[in-house]
Amino acid sequence: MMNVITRTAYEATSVLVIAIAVGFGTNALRGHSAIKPFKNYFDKGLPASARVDTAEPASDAAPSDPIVTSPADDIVSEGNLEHGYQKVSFAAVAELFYDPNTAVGVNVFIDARNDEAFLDGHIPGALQCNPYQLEKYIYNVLDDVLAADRVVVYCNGGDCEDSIFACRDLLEFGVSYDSVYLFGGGWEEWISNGMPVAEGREE
Amino acid sequence: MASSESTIRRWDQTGIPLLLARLLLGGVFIFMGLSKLGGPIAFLQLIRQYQLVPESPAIYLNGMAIVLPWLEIICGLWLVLGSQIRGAAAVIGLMLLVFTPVVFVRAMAIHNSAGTPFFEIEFDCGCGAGNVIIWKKLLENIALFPVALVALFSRSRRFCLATWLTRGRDKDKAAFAAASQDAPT
Repeated sequence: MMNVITRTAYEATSVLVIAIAVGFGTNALRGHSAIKPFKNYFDKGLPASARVDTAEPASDAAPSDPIVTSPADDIVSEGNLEHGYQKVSFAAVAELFYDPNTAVGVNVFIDARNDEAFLDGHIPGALQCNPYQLEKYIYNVLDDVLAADRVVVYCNGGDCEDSIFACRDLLEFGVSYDSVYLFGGGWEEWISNGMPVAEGREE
Repeated sequence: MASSESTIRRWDQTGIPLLLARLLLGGVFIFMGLSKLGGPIAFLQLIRQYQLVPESPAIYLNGMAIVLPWLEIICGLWLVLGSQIRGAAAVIGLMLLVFTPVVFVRAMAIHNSAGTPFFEIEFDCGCGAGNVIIWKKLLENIALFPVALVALFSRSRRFCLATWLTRGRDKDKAAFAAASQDAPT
């Protein structure tokens, strides 16, 4: 006959085993809101130290020579990086937003937040690409981001890292490093400057 | 079992303390577990802030996020039903022991970095109740711990569904044992 301690340990283990089985089992049935067990959702993609060859490559090696130049080209920060990705200021983002070329897809805005936040309000024309449910969104935006000269990625702002994860995903799906710009100020900075907002789904 | 009985043991034998402990603890944890199920990714992001396990390999953190809500639900359910009471109480007690200090440490980190007075600190600790006032949350957890101890150390097994289900079998066992004792050697 087992003593109480052994029996308690046995019971605790059995409860744990059941929880693991039910947890992983139900998780597998959850579709897009599931947690992929082996995916590191918080991998930032690039090493934290700066990439030496930043934007504006001099001549031949340029993978994306912008066919159309934007007034924002001077403002877009050069050599200013956040976790290895090119960082862009609010002023530059605002200019890109009002740039007539944006409407034809030269510049694309990517919102890295979840459904609730996105539907509540987003940058007009922005496409949603939540890195935590990548397969749900990436294929909707892939054509647009691959065709664009500049892809501006934002999330909530402040400490939010979701935009960094979205940049990682975009690069993994073939978007060139030089065309991706991280808008660190994010949604918070956008609305605190009284910029236009769009709600719900467009199109 | 005719030893001198203390008050505690007498109370315990009524089965009421254990029943109350089981219902309270079980109910709270079933509820908390269920509320976590609504947003698995959100829960993953919340437990990341405690840095309990390394982020790589991902299976540690992801596994925690997948399993913990169900651990709470199943322990809670087992407590309410009266099955594997000690094991369920032990697991819950362990969770309280681990997560309460961790939430406290996180609150202190916010206090030190943002300068917010400790009693004003509130954030979503991941328990399933959304944004909570942290000192209240800590008190709740601390109060639940002795309840878990009651469930863990109680010797009563009254009002347990599991016992009721097996009672028939035990009666036969007892009858058999009694019969074999009376048999002539």
